[in-house]
Amino acid sequence: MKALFNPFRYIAGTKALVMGYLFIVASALMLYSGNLIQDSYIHIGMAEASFLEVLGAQTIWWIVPAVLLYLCGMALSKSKIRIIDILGTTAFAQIVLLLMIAPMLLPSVQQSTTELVAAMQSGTIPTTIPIPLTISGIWSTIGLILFYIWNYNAFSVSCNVRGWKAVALFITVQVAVTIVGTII
Amino acid sequence: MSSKKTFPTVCPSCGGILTVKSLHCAECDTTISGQFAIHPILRLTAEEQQFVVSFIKCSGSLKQMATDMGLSYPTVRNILDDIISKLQNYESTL
Repeated sequence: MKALFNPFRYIAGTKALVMGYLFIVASALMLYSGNLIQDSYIHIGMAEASFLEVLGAQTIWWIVPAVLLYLCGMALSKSKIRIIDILGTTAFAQIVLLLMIAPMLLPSVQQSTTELVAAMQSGTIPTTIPIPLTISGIWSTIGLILFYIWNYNAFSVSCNVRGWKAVALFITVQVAVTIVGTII
Repeated sequence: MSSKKTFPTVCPSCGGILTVKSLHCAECDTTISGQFAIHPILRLTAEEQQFVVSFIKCSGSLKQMATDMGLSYPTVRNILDDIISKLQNYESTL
């Protein structure tokens, strides 16, 4: 159970970086196959992009928050921290994205999304949300919560930071990256 | 004497730091009385003391300790940093 919420007690550094980046490549392949792209920190949208563009976007949305968390760790931590640990653990935390993306590629979910978008574009306000989209939404919400828990634990273990200051800095980075990501 | 007994370092009544008042030789039944301070390392928990012993046995290699304990390198380093911080606090209150 401990490993489910904090796998970084057991894995970090180069091993986590290699495994994490392989999962980033795998999730980029999944997104590419479904004509999707991670167009913001925690948002996936439809796009006709090349595989390298999809992978590039995935990499940027992993590495930018990771570097910001490293800088926060350097300011807050009394320990000697290594960038390989924060890069490794945050890359490993991207595995959760794979869980979030998987249902979006199901034909029933894609069809429901297309129908919902078409209905909204024609000016019809849908009274009910299709069941596949509801299930996919609940799944993604659980995934998102786990994504934040894993990323916070990645930051906490890699930089040896705890308490309200660590939580506040983590939230600041997440909010900043989300806002900047939405604007650009 | 049971080996499972842990060495008490904090007073269960008021929470103050305990000191050793007498030492006894089981061989010749000699008892020495006095006021002996407890070394800061003895104030660590049993797990932390075990960690310190393992750290010395590994010649200070955190990588080796991480492998032996099945934990990640930063987790082991964090345990060590927390012990260092505790020892520094103990020493400052001496």
